[in-house]
Amino acid sequence: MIEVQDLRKAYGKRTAIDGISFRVEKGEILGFLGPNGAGKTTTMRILTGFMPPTSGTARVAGLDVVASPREVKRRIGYLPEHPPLYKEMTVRSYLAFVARIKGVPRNRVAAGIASVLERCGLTEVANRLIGNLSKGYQQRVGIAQAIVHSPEVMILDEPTVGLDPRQILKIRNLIRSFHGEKTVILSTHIIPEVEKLCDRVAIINEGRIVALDTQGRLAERLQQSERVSVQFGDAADGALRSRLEQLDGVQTVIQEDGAANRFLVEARRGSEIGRRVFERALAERWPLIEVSPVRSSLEEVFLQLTGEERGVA
Amino acid sequence: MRSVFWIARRELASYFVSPLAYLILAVFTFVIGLSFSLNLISFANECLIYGSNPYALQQLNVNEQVVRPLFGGFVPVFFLILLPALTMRLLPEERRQGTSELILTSPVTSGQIVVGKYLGVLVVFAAMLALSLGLVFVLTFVSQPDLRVVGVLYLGVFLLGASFLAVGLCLSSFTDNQVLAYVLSVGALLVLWFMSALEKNVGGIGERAAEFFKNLSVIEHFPDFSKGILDTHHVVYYLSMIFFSLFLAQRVVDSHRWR
Repeated sequence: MIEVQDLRKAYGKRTAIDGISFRVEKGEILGFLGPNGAGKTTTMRILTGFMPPTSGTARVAGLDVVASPREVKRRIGYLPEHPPLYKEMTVRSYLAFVARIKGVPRNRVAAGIASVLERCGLTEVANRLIGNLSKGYQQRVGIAQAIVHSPEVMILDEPTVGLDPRQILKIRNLIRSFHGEKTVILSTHIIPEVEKLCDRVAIINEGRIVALDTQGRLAERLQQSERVSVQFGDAADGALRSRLEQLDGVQTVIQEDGAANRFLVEARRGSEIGRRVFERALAERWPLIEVSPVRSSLEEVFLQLTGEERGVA
Repeated sequence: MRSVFWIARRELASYFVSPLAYLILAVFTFVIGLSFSLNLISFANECLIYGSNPYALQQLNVNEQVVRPLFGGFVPVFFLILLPALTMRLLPEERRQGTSELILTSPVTSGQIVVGKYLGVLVVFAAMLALSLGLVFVLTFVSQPDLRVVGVLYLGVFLLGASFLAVGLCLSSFTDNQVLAYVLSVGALLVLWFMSALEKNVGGIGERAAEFFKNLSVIEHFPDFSKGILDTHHVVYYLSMIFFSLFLAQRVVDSHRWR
């Protein structure tokens, strides 16, 4: 549905995106994850025809965004980072305006608006001025605006930014409801959002896609070792650390911050380190309290790939 | 073409949710009504005084003394000050509230956006002029104004205002700041206005150059209309002014896509 080939965009001397390529299949939800200024918004703006790329091609439904902008724009619904709302209009008249300039035929405008209002939970505020609505409702109007012309593709730039947790939940459910029906690209820097919503994740950093896969496989790929966290009781002595290091397959043993008797044990992949620690503890009567596996989360993958310090996020 | 209509309609509606348009309409109607009444009263007095003198009576002309001054004198100045206040928000407002991202990612061209916005503000201006038609209507009860003269006068005023609006829209495309857009518009109109002063006050620029600058002046083309003279070269001047301004605005809006 969406094909992007070696896309570049430079603002003067500053390169915003530097050779981005990816594909999104029909009905799929792709998440753009990356720190601020990584190039997420720029990529989206090129896809929506807001600005042209410096080089490279982007195709939506087989149409080039530069060569046939109007056909592409008809097929895309776009929610920018700041929802593009005319505050002095009512929700209904605003949606009517958007439907019209997006080229919805006259006889389908009313029905289109009714269904969008219903779907986005806006029916009861349809006749209120947008400027008087809460931020959560305004965000929903922004999403309604992006789907009022029934586009095949939706591009949502940070759809849940600045909302309270309950509003976030509602917006996420709404986005989730498009799964399989519309092709969605959404950007965010909130990791749980990607985990909950997206089929695949593209991690973008400094204008490049540094990883693109399902989140499970992303985490797996980065996890070359097996890790367990081991907690001993007060009776532990310094010798235990060296005993851990002598276990088969163990690569490093690190004392965890702030806990005298807690160690992070990293071992070769497939060495079943958790079971080994437990068996040895049983045999040698170590004062063991806990052995727990440490999984590499998407968050860690993200931090690792975007080159920030661990634990800062 | 549909999109132009919807953009114009939204623009028009947005004027009437803030007090600005109402205020401008009210001020214009009040001032023009006041000047009309004063002219009409003085004309009526002269008629009473000289009514018995057949020679003097010939000199009295309702077109000359009431209709012409309706838009003479202060009205172009009034336009110079107030019309940029109508156009200053046209493009900066879209960018400020982020709706330019909606418009520019919709299947409409930059030309449609500019023309739509222009037509929206033009209708506000036309409404302003239409309100003053009531005065002419009143006049037909007490006198026989030449309606052809009235028609030409209104055409002239409309073209004058329309060209001011086009210049204002054009300059609003250059900036995101409404105050700046206003100042730029007033400044540009003043420069265009005083082109003719070059002819009068700057010696030695040559006759052809003087003629050239005089013809560029936005105000030099207006007086003939108020005399009831319909000269196509004045009409062409205003139309080309509008066309050029809108064309430039379209280029600027388009160029924003490339930044």
